Amino acid sequence: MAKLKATEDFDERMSTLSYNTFDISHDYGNTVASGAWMRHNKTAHLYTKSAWSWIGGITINVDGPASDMFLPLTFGIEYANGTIVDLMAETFGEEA
Amino acid sequence: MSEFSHSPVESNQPKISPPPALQTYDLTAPWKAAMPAAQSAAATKHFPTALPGHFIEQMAYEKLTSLGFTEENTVFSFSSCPDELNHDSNKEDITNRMKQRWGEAFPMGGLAGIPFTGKTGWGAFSHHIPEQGNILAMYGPHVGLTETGRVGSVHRPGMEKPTTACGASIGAYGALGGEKESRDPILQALKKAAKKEEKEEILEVVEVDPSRGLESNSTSEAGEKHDQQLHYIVD
Repeated sequence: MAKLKATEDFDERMSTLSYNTFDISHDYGNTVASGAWMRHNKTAHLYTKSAWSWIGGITINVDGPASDMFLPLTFGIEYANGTIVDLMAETFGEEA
Repeated sequence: MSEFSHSPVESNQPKISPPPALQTYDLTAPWKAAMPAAQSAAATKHFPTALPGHFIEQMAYEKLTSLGFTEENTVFSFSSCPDELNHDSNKEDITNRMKQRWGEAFPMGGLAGIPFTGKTGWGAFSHHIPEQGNILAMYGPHVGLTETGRVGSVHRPGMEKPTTACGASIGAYGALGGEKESRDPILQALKKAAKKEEKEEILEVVEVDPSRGLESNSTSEAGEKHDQQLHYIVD
C-alpha cells in the first residue's frame, strides 16, 4: 500500500497493484498448497515417484487484435523426497 | 436367447474421438506486430518479460513433459480470476489451454486469482491424484491493457468505454483507501466504478436482496464478512 500511494503515475500504480495482488495470491497459496500429500498416507496410496509443479504470474488482458499475455513470475517443481527445483530460467530464459 | 444376454450388436452411439492435439506455435515468430505502438510500449515497460499466454503454456508443457508429466498421470489445478476475459479463447488463454492439455481441472479460486478454497480445497484436491501421479497448479491475477497503453482497464465486447481489470483487485484497493486523496478525475471515476462493481459482487456472493441496500443495517453482516476477508488476505 505504501509503495502504491507513493507512485504518482497512474499506469505505474495499476501495474504495481497487479504485482502486489500476485504477491498476495502467492503468499496465500504458500499457506494452502504443499507437497505434503506425497509424503503421508503412504500405506493408502503410493506417491514415491510423484511431483507437483506450480506456475504463477500475471495474465495481461490485451485490448485489440493481439493475444492476451502472461508474465511468468514463478515456475518450479517439488519432488516426493522434498527436493525443489526452480524451473524459471531454464524454461523462460535468464531474464524471466 | 435370454433377454439379459448380451450379443455383439452394432451400437448407434457415436464414437468418442480423442481431442485433437493443441495447436503448436512457432515461439520465435514475431507477435508484437499486432499491438499498437503505445500498447506495445506499455507492455514492455510494465511487464517486460511477458509473452502471449499460449507461448508460455507451450513452453511450460514442453518442460513438464520432459520431466515425466503426462495427461494420464497429472491433475491440473488453477486459481484464476473468473472474469470471462480470462476464459474466452480456447486457442490463446493460458488457463483454457492448460485445461485442454492436462484433461482435468480443479478450480482453487478466486476473484483476483486468490485461491479461496484454501487448505480445505487443496486437501480435497490432493486426494484425487492418481498413484505415482502429479499436480500442476497455475495461479495469478490479471490486469487490463488498452490499445492506448492504459494499465488496469480493458474494452469488453460490446462496450464502448473501458472497464477495470481486475475489477476485484482495484475494488479491494479502493476499499482500503488506496485512491482516497487523488484529484485525478479518471482515478475518481475508476474508483467509483470499482466500488459499484465490488458492491454488485458482494451482493451476488452473499445473495442479499439488492433492493435492501448494502449499507443499511439489515445487510451489515454481509459487509462485515467481506471486510474481515479482505483484512485477512492483506495481512
